[in-house]
Amino acid sequence: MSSDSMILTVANRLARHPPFDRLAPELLDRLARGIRIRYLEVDEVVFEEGDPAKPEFYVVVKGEVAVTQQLDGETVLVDVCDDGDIFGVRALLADRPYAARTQAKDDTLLYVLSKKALEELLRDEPRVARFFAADFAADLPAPRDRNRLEAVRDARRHERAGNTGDDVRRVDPVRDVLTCDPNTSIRQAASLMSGRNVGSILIVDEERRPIGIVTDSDLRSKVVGQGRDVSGLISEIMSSPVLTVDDQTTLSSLIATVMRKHLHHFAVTEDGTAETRVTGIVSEHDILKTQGSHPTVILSEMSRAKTRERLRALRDQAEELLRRYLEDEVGMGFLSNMISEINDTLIRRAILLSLEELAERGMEPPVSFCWLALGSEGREEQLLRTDQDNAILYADPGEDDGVAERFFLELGKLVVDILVEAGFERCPGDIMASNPKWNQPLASWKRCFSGWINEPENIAVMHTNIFFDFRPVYGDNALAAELKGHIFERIKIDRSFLGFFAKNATRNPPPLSFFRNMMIERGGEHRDAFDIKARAMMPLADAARVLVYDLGIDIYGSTAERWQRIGETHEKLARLSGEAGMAYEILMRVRALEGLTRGDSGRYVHIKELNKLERQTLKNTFSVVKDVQLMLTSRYRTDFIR
Amino acid sequence: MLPDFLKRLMGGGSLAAQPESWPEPLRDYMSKRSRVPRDKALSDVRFVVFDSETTGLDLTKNRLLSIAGVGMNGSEVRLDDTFGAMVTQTDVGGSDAAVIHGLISNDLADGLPEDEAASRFLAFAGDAVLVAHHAAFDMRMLQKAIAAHRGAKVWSPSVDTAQLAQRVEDGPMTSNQARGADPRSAYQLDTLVERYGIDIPERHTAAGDALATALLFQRLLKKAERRGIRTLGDLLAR
Repeated sequence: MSSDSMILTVANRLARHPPFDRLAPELLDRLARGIRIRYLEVDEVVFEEGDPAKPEFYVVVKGEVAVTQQLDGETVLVDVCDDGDIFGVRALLADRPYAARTQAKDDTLLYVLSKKALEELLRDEPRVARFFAADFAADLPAPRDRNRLEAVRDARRHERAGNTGDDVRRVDPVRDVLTCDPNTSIRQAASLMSGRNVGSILIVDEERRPIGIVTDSDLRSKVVGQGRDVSGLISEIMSSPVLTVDDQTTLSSLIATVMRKHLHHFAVTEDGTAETRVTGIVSEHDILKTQGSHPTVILSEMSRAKTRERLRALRDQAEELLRRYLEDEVGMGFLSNMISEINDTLIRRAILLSLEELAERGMEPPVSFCWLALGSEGREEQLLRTDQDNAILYADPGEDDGVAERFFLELGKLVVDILVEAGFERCPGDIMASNPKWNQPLASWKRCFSGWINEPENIAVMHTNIFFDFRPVYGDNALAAELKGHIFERIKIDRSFLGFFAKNATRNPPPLSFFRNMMIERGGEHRDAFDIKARAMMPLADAARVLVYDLGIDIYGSTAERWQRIGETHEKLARLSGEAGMAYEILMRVRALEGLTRGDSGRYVHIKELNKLERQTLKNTFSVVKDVQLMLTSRYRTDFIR
Repeated sequence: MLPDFLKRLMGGGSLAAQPESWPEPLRDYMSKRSRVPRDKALSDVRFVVFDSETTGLDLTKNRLLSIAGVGMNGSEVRLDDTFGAMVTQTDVGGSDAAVIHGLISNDLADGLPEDEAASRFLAFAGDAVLVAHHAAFDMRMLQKAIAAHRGAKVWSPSVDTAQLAQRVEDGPMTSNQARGADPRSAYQLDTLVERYGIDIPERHTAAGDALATALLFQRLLKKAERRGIRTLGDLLAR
């Protein structure tokens, strides 16, 4: 018996808990060899709030550890760690004093791991980096520190490669491929194709090596279109050389080639070059069949769609695509960009269809206008189809007897109707371009925002969230830019408005923690479902909005992008911004998955259905939300605003 | 260098120490021999918790099969401070220990000579305090394993977790016998491990039992501290 079995025993114990459950045996073994086992009796303290961080962190193997903070002279329970929970990492990596006191609530066994072990793990195992990213995004190791979001996305991509995403999924080529020699006549080739009912024919040499390809569209354009004699040789009209791949080529690289070269067929050969025999053929159609659909295809079809039904069908396809990408752990930034691109295209198509309809009735836009997306759509975060929030902003028409007003109201109504049919429900608060109140010329919009900024007491909280996130989707962007410039100026004059904004962002504190299958509230009560929107996402989105307007950051971006810009603009907020942006992306993913699973908005997350890793990751975001709220409270002294 | 038989012929006293003939690790261990620092706080003491597996429980006939140990700094168990060695055995067949420990002869073919394994373990321990369950037995096995090396001696202070458990649970003056329990079974490693909720799957190997004993000792040390046992002197006092 060597001491190796001792190490193995400890390694196996550690491997019961995330993120250690995903480690390769060698890494786990290396980790176990450095472990120290500590036993705590009830009430024994691991570290005190304010103590300098020790170069170690802790995994609870058995027992319970209470995490408490002193707030206004009172001890507040902020978390309870039980089997498998990890603590002490944040202060360790940030090299700052402990933010809380940790004390055993029960006889407790801890595995103590060194800071060095953690650093090695982050370096060698991107999945672990991702696990800690929610809480400690700002603390990833140096080289990748420059762009933390990217670093974490790298980690995700790495992880995704382990799943059966497009990166590894392969197309099944058509094996029974139609071929002919170069001396075949066009007529013969065409009859072969129609006889087999296929859209392409490969021209091969005597060794069955691919020379060229002819597709039905070649026949249409080069033969029918150019009036060519069908008794000519097929080699005269073939495309050559043919793109060749081997049957191990991944779907994602095929898609990339299709998009880059605008080619639609690949010959599959023995070794992937034109020097070996043809073994099959893959068409773009096959690729789409394997892949189901593809964002670029959906986009291009959407911008050609003639009917409302078609728009809806395409949006349904996009949702299916989203589901698969979410499950494949595709980066959240990419996903929300993709979906907003699709939504924007859909909206633009809806506007164009409506403008056409109005034109048929002899109505043209009297002045320039801009379609504004509001709320989550304005922030490019509308992953799932939720309510519509939109408005129309048009150039001041002067004296026109209400011609502009009538035109744009009609336009608003038509577009909103199309969007409803595409699956975007009407806004219950009627904040839509079909409501004359939110369909106004520039001067009125300026008055409207000035009023909100001067007398924030009087506006409904919902309005700030929705309107201040406006983003131009169609039309004259200069109108939107002018409105935004106006808002920045007003806020510069009257900063008290920011306090109300900030107060709004601190209204809902995050829950304390999850414990077993329950959520622990500050008051001590337990619940089994968690309002992820109100308790975690809105505070982060609200906070980003305050800071963006405060710092004069002129972007229409998502909350994650806003946090990134805030971090770049304001050095003091760099760390917190990194954490907040990362946390927000994680929350969006959790919500989107929950929504797709339940077929609803995903607002309520059911804790017992999360696995341990998901719970840990989600829990890690809470402390970020809390830090952000504390920052807002001190920055804007929201305590004084009642 | 004189041949062994000449050394024996020349006498020079059969009881005299002959460090030059000791294995290197044993010399290393003996060179560290020192007075036990009785005032040392328990949290500063290095303990080596170990277990030895033998061919049986009869000291005169049985031999060492394997030995494993793990270091502790105060009450913290350190997996970066472990030892494991197997002993080459040629005459194991038929022993009941092979059944107990689930060892088959093949496993025992690779390993060290008994004295070498014991010497290396002692060098690993150095000036640490040795801890074992029913320590007296293991200490005598160690001594027996190096007996051929005249003058060498297992000098390390030792703690018996069975005795310590009795002491911190009942206090020095009481005994379980008074309450009618069987003290032998009440303080067996299996019983204690179960009583303290220690979860070690690899029991009945030297490494598994050493780790289980370490985790037990960890808990006993905490109890001991509450009984005012703070220094090494307090711990070693009988």
